[in-house]
Amino acid sequence: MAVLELPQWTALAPALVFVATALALFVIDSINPHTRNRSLLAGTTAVGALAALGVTVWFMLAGVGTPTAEGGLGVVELFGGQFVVDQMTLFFTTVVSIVTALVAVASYDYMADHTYQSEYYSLIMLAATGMAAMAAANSLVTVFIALELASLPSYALVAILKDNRGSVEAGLKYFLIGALSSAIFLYGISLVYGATGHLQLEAIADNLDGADAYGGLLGLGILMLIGGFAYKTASVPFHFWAPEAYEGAPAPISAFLSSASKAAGFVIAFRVFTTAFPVEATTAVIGIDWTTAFVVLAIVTMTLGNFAAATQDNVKRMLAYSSIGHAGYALIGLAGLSADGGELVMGAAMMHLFVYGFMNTGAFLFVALAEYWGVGRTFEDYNGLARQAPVACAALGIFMFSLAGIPPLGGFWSKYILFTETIGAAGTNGAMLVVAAALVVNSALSLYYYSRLVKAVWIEDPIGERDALAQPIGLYAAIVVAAVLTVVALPAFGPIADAAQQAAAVAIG
Amino acid sequence: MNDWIAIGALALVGLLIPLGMMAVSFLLRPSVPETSKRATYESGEVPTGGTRIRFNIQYYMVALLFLVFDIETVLLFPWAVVYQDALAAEEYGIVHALGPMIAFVVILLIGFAWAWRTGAVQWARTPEQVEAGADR
Amino acid sequence: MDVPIEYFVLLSMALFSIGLFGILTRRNALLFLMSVEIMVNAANVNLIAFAFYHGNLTGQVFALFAMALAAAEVAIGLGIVLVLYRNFRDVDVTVPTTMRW
Repeated sequence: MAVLELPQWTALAPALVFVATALALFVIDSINPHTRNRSLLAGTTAVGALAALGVTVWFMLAGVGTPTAEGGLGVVELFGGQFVVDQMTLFFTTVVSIVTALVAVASYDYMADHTYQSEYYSLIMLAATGMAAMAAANSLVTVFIALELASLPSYALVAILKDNRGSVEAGLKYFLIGALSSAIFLYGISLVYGATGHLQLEAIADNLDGADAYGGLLGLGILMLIGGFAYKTASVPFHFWAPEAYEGAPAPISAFLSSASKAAGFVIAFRVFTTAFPVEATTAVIGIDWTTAFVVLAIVTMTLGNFAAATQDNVKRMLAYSSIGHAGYALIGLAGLSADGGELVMGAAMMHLFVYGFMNTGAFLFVALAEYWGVGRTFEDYNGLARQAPVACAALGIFMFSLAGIPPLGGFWSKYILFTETIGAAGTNGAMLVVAAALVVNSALSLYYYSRLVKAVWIEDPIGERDALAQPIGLYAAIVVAAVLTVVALPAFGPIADAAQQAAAVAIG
Repeated sequence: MNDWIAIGALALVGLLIPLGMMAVSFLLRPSVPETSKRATYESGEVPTGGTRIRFNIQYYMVALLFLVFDIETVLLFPWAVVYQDALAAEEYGIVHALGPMIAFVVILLIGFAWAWRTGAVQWARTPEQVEAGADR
Repeated sequence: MDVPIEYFVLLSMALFSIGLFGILTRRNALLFLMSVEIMVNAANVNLIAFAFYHGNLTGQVFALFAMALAAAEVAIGLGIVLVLYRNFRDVDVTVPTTMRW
């Protein structure tokens, strides 16, 4: 394949395409300051994201990351193992680039009246660069830098509606908790470095037994790292920014953060904990099995997210809490690692994140559409929207039922596989039974509030007269594509599942 | 003799000198109480207005740009340390040694050019710009 | 090295705790930012001390990166504090409550 002839560093091409697009946007804005040419800016962003997607898919097909024994090109390690490009990298880069493209297209209409157009799109691209780099980071140095590169533009994006008090408040809370958790994360890194003397993930794993004298330091460091991941993935105990930030932020940005950013947070959590802290070796040093922490966090996160979501009147806030609940489902992937078949559970969690990326983006984009129409924020305000906008509401139905896990939609299969693998892992780790039970109970509960929205849109009568609703092309296109992807994920589920399982197996390997 | 005794003596002397000077001036100075001596800014001028004035927002923009570009120079430092060795080594050519830093500086330059063009470092505006500009 | 490594860890933990205390007790957004900076610098003290202790430069170089990132974070944070002041006429972080907790 042609990939073989390329220099090694081109393996980072998806992230490089993102950063090149961001710089191109800066150049466009420098040539013509304060340009309001939305088609050019949104178009450049979408083309950049799709180019990154294309490169990623090309790499996948060419076999980058597939073990050489199976005819692939093997895992590419760059800069002395600071970055690694394997199947998990490509898998999550796919999610990030698709979500970025959808958000860019949807923003064309949503941000139409905004003064600072090019700033908005270049910040999105820089954040996407950070997320793609997170997927490839293989050292605590690159993990931290990529995490900050994804976070810093996100703070500005959440607060970008400078005259909207909700947006500024959301940006403030997002930033304050983000700054706190990144400081904690950095301190955790420094403790891990102190205990092992290395920051590269494989080197940490190799030097774990030398850290016997510093078991306490290492344990504290790992605990602090978990705090950093919890923030990025909006899980307990650093979840309380999520409802505020998602509600106040522009809706496409809420979609971006709750899908792409969350997926990127999980990929570093998966990679750091599987590569740097193998369960047995780490348990021998610090005396506690770290998967216990994730068992607790997964159960608490999903329960808290779903119960809080069930009590909301505001649709965007409901979706924000449901996004916390889904973070709890994905955490099962880390909770199951100590058991036999842990890599199957992790693969199932990755699969869930993949499907979740589309359906959740779509759901938030529908909220963006509703905000564009100006119909209001609560469930009652959404009443009877289907009479005026059947296509978008049909798409909403798909997203909601898929999020709830109704067969035969994609969300059902990913949850089903997650459930069966969790049960399978329960043979060697009894706690997984509790996790599986929590998963079922929470899914059943989530059906209540998801179907409540569908009922409001399709069955209830509108509470008042509404003007005719506009049909913004960009938003509609993004919603329809997200819906199609959620449905297409169904026949394509076999390959996705295989890719996820292989990626998990290679990552743990 | 223990090193710490010398350090302790130094600290003691360091503390005694200012205290001694204050005590001497307290004993020697004439006492002339006057209200204007209690003013925060004691120069003979009567201060007007509060201390909390608002600065031009432009100070803030330039300070932010300075903060970011200034701190980026710390990343030049480790590169400068290894540059000669990297050139001397067989396996790295000039492209490997110089290329990444050029890419880094180019990215910074694009950012700087963008900030300049969009008016982040502009102190005064012409009448046309005032009309055209938003709330910058 | 003459000074035992434990002293450095104690120093950095003290700094970290001071920063955390500041975050938990202060309501001014700017003081919050300063507290976060203290926490980041606590981590930098650790990184540099351990780099010396372990005899490799990884920690020192990472401390440089951490400083650069902290500066960028402060720049963004000050921007957000500025729009906060414009909208709410205050930099008290407990004032903005348009959304309920």
